[in-house]
Amino acid sequence: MTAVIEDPIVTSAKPRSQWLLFRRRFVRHIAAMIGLGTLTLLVVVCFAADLWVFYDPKLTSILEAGEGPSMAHWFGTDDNGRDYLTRIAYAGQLSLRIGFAVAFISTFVGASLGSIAGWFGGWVDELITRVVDLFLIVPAIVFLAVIGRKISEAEAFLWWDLGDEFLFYTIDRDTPIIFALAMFGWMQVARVTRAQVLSLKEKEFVEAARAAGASSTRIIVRHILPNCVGVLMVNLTLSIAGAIVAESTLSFLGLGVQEPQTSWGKMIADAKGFIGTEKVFMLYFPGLMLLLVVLSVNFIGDGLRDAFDPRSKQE
Amino acid sequence: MEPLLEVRNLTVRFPTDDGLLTAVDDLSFELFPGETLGIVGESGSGKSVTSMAILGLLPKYARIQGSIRFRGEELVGRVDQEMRNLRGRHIAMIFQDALASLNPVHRVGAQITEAIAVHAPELSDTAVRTRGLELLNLVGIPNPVDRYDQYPHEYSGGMRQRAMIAMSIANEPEVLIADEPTTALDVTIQAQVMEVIARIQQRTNSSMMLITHDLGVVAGAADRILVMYAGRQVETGLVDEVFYRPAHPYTRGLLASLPRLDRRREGQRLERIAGQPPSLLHLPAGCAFTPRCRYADASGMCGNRRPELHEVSATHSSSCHFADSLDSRADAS
Ligand SMILES: Nc1ncnc2c1ncn2[C@@H]1O[C@H](COP(=O)(O)OP(=O)(O)O)[C@@H](O)[C@H]1O
Ligand SMILES: [Mg+2]
Repeated sequence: MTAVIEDPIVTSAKPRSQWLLFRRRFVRHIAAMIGLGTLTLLVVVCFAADLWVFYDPKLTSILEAGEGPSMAHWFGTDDNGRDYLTRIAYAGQLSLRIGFAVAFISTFVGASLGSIAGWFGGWVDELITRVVDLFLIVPAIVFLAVIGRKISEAEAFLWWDLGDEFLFYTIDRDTPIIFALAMFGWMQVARVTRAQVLSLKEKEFVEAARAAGASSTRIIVRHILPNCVGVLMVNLTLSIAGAIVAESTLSFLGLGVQEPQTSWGKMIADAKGFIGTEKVFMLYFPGLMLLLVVLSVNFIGDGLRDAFDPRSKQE
Repeated sequence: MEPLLEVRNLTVRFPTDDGLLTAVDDLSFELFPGETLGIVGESGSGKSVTSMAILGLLPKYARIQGSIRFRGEELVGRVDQEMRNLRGRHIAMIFQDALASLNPVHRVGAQITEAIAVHAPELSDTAVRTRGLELLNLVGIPNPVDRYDQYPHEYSGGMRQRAMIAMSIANEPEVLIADEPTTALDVTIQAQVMEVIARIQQRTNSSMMLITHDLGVVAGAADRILVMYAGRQVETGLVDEVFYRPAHPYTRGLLASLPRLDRRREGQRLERIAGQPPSLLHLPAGCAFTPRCRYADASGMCGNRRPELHEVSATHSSSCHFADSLDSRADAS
């Protein structure tokens, strides 16, 4: 046996990458992996719709209206005779885009404002809290009805001119919807983050970091926000689902999606009338999609939180 | 010798709902290079407020008067930016509750090197890690390589406190403030941690303010002792002077409440100082200790005139009006 004498302190000085450890914990999270797989599949299926659909999503057919699932129409047809699966795929493009964009924007805005308010306190906190309250008491629907129509008129006019009216939603067309939903979606995150920061900043480890010479920015980024990840993840999950559903409300205001285009939220809203009839499947399919997305995101959020939080058992 | 840290007439007040609270009242002391100054006093006597004032970490609403000089430079009134350069590099702090003072979501290694990352951002990750492992080794944590990447909850209480010590000495500060470093620990662990602190201090040759409410802790570790009561300084002196010739009734009370092997053999009971510390909102006009003092005459000097600190010997002073005649007063009463 040869004894190789090594100085353990010097030989192991290579830093173990935080990112690597984080990734390993995340990859071992089974539920998160299933969620990620499902979500990826949904995204690919929806966004690659042009490649696989057999039907024109706008092609109506009175003869085939309101049929249940069959070999020809796996998810059946809607009451205009359009293939429901095709509709779901195209609707998913819009719903997914809006859901994620709104959730990320509102979480980002809410978390930023909330942590600023909680951290700095005083008049900054006062001001932000007032703004949050203001947005909470303004009836979003009424407000959006007023400004929403203006925005979407301008938008529609533009598209009419370009002759693109029949195209399904493009990214530019989503912008007012995303903007409108995010505008009324950030307050809850702001409140939760503020409360979290208020309690975290009194913690001794924050004092210890200060005593080590850390700046406010460093303390917020390194000590406060990582401890908020759990809360933010939960919120992100909820707001994706919330945004997908809320989008359908906007169509009433002329701001959301309009016929012949559709979204999962709108399909659910449209199918509500079929509860109790045999056409209730029209509610199930978009509902199922929404459920899949929400569950997937939830599982992924769980995995991320556990990967971030060292107290979780998986190493 | 020039003092490293010089506190002059430091007064700290907090506006509260019930009025102005005086947490530290006209406190003066100095800390010389390489020495350990024990600061002793009951809970609430203003020890932590004093250390926070030195680090510039008091809340904004605190009203601070007097002067704190570090290497001759005034710290009171400095902006946070300037104080940041000092904290964790020249003056560092060991906190009482290591579990609470470590962030649960970060590895211990990343936390003990925080002060390095802050003050020497140009260092490579490898260099920082090497230094971190050295530090863990220095404070006597076994298997530093494995322990470096663990989280605070995977450490025992004693190890966490060692990690806290490692964190504070990362940049070899000139002044170490240890605020009740062993209070949260078992007695056996306390001794080990004190040993680590003594060893570290010898190695880095830093000065230390060792804050505690337990005279027993400072007995073996400090060179000089400062006794505080209700935000005021009541006695300072070399360890032996304070222990063997206490010149203030409060110090005498503290000593009498200390468990001692020789006394136990004689069958004596531990004495506690009767009564409660005064409210910091309404301090007595005279000596703050009067209501609890066995030697005091409340209607005379003690109750009415605030005592000045006066010398008992060149290195020993007391703020008792009767510092020189305590023994004869004890016999009389
Ligand atoms: N931020 C603050 N606001 C108001 N009062 C405070 C504050 N910090 C400390 N105090 C008061 O100052 C006094 C001294 O506290 P402290 O220095 O923590 O005592 P200790 O000697 O136990 O460390 C206590 O009565 C405490 O309530
Ligand atoms: Mg204290």
